[in-house]
Amino acid sequence: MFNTFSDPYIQFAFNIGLAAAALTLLLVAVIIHLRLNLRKSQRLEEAFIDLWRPILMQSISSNSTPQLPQLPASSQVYFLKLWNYLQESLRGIANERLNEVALELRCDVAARALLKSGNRAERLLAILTLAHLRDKKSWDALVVQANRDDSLASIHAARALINIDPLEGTSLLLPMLLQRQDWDVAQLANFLGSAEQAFWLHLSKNILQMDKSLWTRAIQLADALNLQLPLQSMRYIIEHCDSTETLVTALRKAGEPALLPLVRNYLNHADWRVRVEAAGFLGRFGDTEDAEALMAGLEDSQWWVRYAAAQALASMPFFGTAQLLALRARTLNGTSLAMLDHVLAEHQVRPS
Amino acid sequence: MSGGITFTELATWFIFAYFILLNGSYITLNLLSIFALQKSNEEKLLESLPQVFKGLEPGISILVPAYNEETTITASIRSMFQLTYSEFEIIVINDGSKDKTLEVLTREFALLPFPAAPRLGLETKPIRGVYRSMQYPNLRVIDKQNGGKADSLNAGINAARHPLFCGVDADSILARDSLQLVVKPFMKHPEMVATGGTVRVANGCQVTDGSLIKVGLPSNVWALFQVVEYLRAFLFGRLGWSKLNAMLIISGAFGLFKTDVVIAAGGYRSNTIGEDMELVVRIHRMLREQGTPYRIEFVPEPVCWTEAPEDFKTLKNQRIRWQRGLSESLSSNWGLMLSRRGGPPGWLAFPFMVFFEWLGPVVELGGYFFMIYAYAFGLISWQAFVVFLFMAIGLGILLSVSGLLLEEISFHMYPKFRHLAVLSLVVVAENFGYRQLNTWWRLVGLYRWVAQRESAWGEMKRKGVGSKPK
Repeated sequence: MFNTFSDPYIQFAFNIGLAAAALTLLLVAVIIHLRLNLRKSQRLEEAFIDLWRPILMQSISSNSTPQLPQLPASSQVYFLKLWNYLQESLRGIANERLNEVALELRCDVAARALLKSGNRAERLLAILTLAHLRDKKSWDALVVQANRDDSLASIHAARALINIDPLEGTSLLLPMLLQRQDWDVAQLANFLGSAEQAFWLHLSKNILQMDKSLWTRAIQLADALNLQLPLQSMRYIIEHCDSTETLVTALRKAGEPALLPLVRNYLNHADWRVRVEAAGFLGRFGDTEDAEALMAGLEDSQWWVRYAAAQALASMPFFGTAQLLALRARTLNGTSLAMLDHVLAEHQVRPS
Repeated sequence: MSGGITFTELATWFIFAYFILLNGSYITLNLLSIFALQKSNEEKLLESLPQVFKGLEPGISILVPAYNEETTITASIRSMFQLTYSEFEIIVINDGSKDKTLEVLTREFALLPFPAAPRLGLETKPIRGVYRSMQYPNLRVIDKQNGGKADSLNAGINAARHPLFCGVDADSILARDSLQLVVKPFMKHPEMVATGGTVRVANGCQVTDGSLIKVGLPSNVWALFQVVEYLRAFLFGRLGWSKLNAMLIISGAFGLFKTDVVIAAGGYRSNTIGEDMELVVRIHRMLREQGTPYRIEFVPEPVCWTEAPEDFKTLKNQRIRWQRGLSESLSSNWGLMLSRRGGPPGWLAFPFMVFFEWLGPVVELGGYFFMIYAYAFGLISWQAFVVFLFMAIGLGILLSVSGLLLEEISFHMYPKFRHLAVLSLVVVAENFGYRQLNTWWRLVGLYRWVAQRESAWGEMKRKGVGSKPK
């Protein structure tokens, strides 16, 4: 064994080596092919952009749609890429002008076809296009896309639905907006900007009926959109939520002085993150009575609570840095003193 | 050979089987990476659209440990201010530099002492002072006694204000959108605890004021070999493991972590060489033991460029240290190996690391020596000897070429045909000597770990930029 080339073991190893060599050659060929294709495609796209960008820019700046050249089917994807890029870069009337050009070139039809039978990249492009075009005919197909597991396709389909009909879109999507953790809140806030009133309407109407586990995300979304939830809803959530996460989020978002008596109770909460948010709230809405409680917070075992308490004191209109300096002068606790110095330095006030 | 199986047969069969298993695993990782890159390619259109920042992105503290970096620190920090991200702070940790790093920082960024309230989190060497920039409100400098990179990072974590922190080497060159890219997984998955991005070799690239201007290839042959190594290590090594949520390494040159999770894990361990890998393995172990759902993800986009060693001695020392770091990371987290709750990290990645990366040098070099010995003493025929080399080198070249393919289907950072031609030659050439040399250095690293021989941080001969894949 292992002494002749006809040995099955050696033959096996030889075959593996041979397969590796053949695959290597194949991969090299694929690499060269990919590079050639890329070059060709880049050249074609550059030439397309050179021709079409000025036309689209002209259509944006003039009152009427200019004479448009023929758009070959082979260039449709290039066009949609350029068109979507401009759509995302511009605002207002420019978007409408671009829509007119796209409809003239029957891009709505092309996008619907891509949505139906394109590959994933083409489907994403189609969803984006249909969102900008607010294409009502694609409603059902977009609902299907919004329900898919694909995070990117689904969130953009949700955006399209909201663009097409803000009221119906938010109503339909509210459960998903709150449940789908893979839909990034910052991105949703961008999408929901045009439908924030509709969203606020649905959210404030339903928030107390929905599962408590959805409250955190509901408040985060409202916060991202700078929407104020009704006072009684906020009060109810703070009093009845089961999770610390929700409580922290709710206290951070709480923006009504009427919640002051309720929030005061949380300054001594067992979880330091809650104490931090309670201190922050007292800094925004607290009165002289709260300043005393915040001074006690300067001796908290948690750095972040001490910091929040000092910041809250510094931000109180009737307290501020002058009072903080006075407080520093009579503070004996080293930890509190260090935090006061820290915050005073942040406010660029030097203790004499 | 009519009786039972001989030792020679057994050893030969074992070596064949090992090489096939090793390369089979790599090919599987490669396939996983192809699928991941394909998906990422499909999303490129949307990624390339203008980004709108709402200020809702989680804040990031960039931690920059600096030891004797007076020549590079200013350009590095200035380039970090160019990062496109809504909310970040930069914390430079001067780790008892013997040169004028602190003076340079003070002069260039108008630093003034800041009476920071001490935050007792992770244990570190004593802090000598904290400074704040009068020009840049989001720049702070911590001056501390020398304690090493891990100790510096811990000091930075203690001072970090944001829920995420990013450890960066002082001489790394970051892509302008690097933070945007590595933070994305955190925004999609609340259970994300760490992300890492691709690190590329900066040698041969045009760098001005700490920013990468033009991508190129180095003329130095050692650096060229490393270009191919980095492609392989990042594009199919880490991306493949990431798909299985079993990535055990995030490069110290650039990685983003959830601050509270790292504090809960105890921060960086300062008595290990491979503190970056050790931390990631420990996080896996801790969260697996707790049964906490989590994710650690790799972002394939090139986010960080680093200077690779260009001389034999520095490269050798670096590789020896890496192997020691790997040994320490695995041995100190042995509880993850095949543990009940280990999941893919404990049942796939950890055993893979143990058998193929940690003990690999023993088997690989043992295989080469055994074959030479067996051939010299007539235990195997010349055909068997040649076939063994043909298979081992053939599979090595295949893997290197596949790294190049992944680069070509994804980022094609090397734009010229000449680059492609040079890289194609290098992927073949590195299999004739360089890889074997690397294996030898890893074996030395393993020996030094076993013998507990200290291997001091070698001085890296730099031209301006620097760090590592593993």
